[in-house]
Amino acid sequence: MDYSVQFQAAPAGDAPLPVDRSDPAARIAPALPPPNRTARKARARLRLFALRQEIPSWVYKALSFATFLSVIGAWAWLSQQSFVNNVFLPTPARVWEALRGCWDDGSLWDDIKISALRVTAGFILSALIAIPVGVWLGSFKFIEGIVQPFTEFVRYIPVPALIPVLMLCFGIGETAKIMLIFVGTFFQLTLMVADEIRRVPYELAQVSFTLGATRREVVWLVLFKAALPGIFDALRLCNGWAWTYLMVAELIAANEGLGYRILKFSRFLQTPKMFVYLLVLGSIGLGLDFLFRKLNARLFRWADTTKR
Amino acid sequence: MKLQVNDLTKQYRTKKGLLEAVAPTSFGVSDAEFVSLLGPSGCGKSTTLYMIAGLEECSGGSVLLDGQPVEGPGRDRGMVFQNYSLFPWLSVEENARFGSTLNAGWKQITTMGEAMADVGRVHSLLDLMGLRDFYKAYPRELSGGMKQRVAIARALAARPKVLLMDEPFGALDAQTREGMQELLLLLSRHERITTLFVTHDVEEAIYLSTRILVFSARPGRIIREVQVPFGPDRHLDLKLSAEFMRLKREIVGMLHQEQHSDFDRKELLEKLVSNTAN
Repeated sequence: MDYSVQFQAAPAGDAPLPVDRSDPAARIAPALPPPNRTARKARARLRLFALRQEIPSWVYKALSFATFLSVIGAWAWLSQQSFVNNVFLPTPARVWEALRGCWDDGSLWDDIKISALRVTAGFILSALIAIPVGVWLGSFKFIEGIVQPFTEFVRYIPVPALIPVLMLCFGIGETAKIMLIFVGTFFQLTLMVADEIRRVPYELAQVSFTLGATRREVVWLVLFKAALPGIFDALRLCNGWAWTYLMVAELIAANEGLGYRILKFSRFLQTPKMFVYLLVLGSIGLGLDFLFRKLNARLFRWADTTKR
Repeated sequence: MKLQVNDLTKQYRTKKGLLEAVAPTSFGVSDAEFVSLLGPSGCGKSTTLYMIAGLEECSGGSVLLDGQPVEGPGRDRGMVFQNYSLFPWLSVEENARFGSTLNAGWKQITTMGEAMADVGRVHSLLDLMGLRDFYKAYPRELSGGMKQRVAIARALAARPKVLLMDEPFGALDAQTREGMQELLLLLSRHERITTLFVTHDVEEAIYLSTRILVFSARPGRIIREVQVPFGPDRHLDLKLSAEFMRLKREIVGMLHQEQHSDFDRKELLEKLVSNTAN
């Protein structure tokens, strides 16, 4: 509709509207008086703190970055103070030096490799068994009855308490360490996968039956496929736990690895190196989490991302 | 009779004893007929449909399709749900072809020619549904009406002997619903689909059906059977005609008669007013 015509057709006796006619928006609705500065600021703040709403991505990134910066800043400041003993809190510069040292002699890289190997082996083993078991568990009440209560029971046994048992069964070699990571993640993952399967609307199974699907087809072509993004997210969380159980696993007669090394540095008060290893562990976690999220978004474009 | 339902019943075991949700119900649907089950919410019409689909176990009675008793769900009875229930990880085209990718669908396709014909049929169904430009789209990118059109195409692609529809347009807005009704009418006339349609919308039931079975609640049972006097060529204008209105009034009257209220609303209203005054 052409609004300018309407305006021109208004009775000539009326006072002309004080609007700029070159601006189409102003012709439709005369602009409100410009809000003052404080009001504008207040509105912007309201938007940034809107409940569960998106904020601009640059704001989000800037905030995350600022947190890291301020923690490092606080650390640098604290370590300069006289009331802080530098043996317990080394300066960032000394930690950086230590990092260069560990990296150049190759010890850090070796530790990363062996630890990553242990975590990955335990995690993959756990995923390979937990996913099918979880899918069956979530699909059939019969299997749930067999598996679920027992799994809940095992899940509450603290993993470190299992070390003696694992040492009896698997000795003190790599197998015991991998099995500990497996035990730490398997039961959790199984239950999480089962929950994802249960979350799939039952109507998807019903409609598949009316299209001629067999029970097995419904489980693997419908329930499993529908739950995949959720299962993938469970894997991401589980991978994080696997890295925490690494510390526990390397309590068992290890003589290399990130967790073992942190304990050793702490015992000999080599705090700069200890900090290096802590930072490395954190960075690995952050990197893997990022990787899992990116992969999830890429693999499951069909999923409604606003829901997770 | 294409579909014959004999003394189909549903009872639930509750703490207070047996609850009869659907009283013994019998009816038939002949070839290419469009029959609606009409009644208020919770009257057991959907349960009846689910029992025919084999998705809900019946407590008694039998369902015959082409004279053969059916048990459990199967490809011969296609179903369309109210909530679309598309597979979100499949594109529109893959959704519509889902039945053919299952083992039961594959078994029916033995030659290359049959496979081509199957794809061709899915494509022409989707085109007819106005989805030509959306083959590769995912369900989350579609509107409610489009989703339901994909769901209908998916059900028809499997060539069911009967199409069962459970309030398929219940979640759509009024304009979209009328468009979908016209489309469904066109489809069932040209494809000669035998349809059993569940709805609580009197107008929708009259406009679409050749015959209406009016349900009453607690326990669900057929109280009346109404033959719709209009021919297969129907337009939306029909809904405004005197004949249509008369039939609608008659059916609404039947439903009202059945709704005996078991409490005195007037007395309760007076109580509310006096309580508010205090």
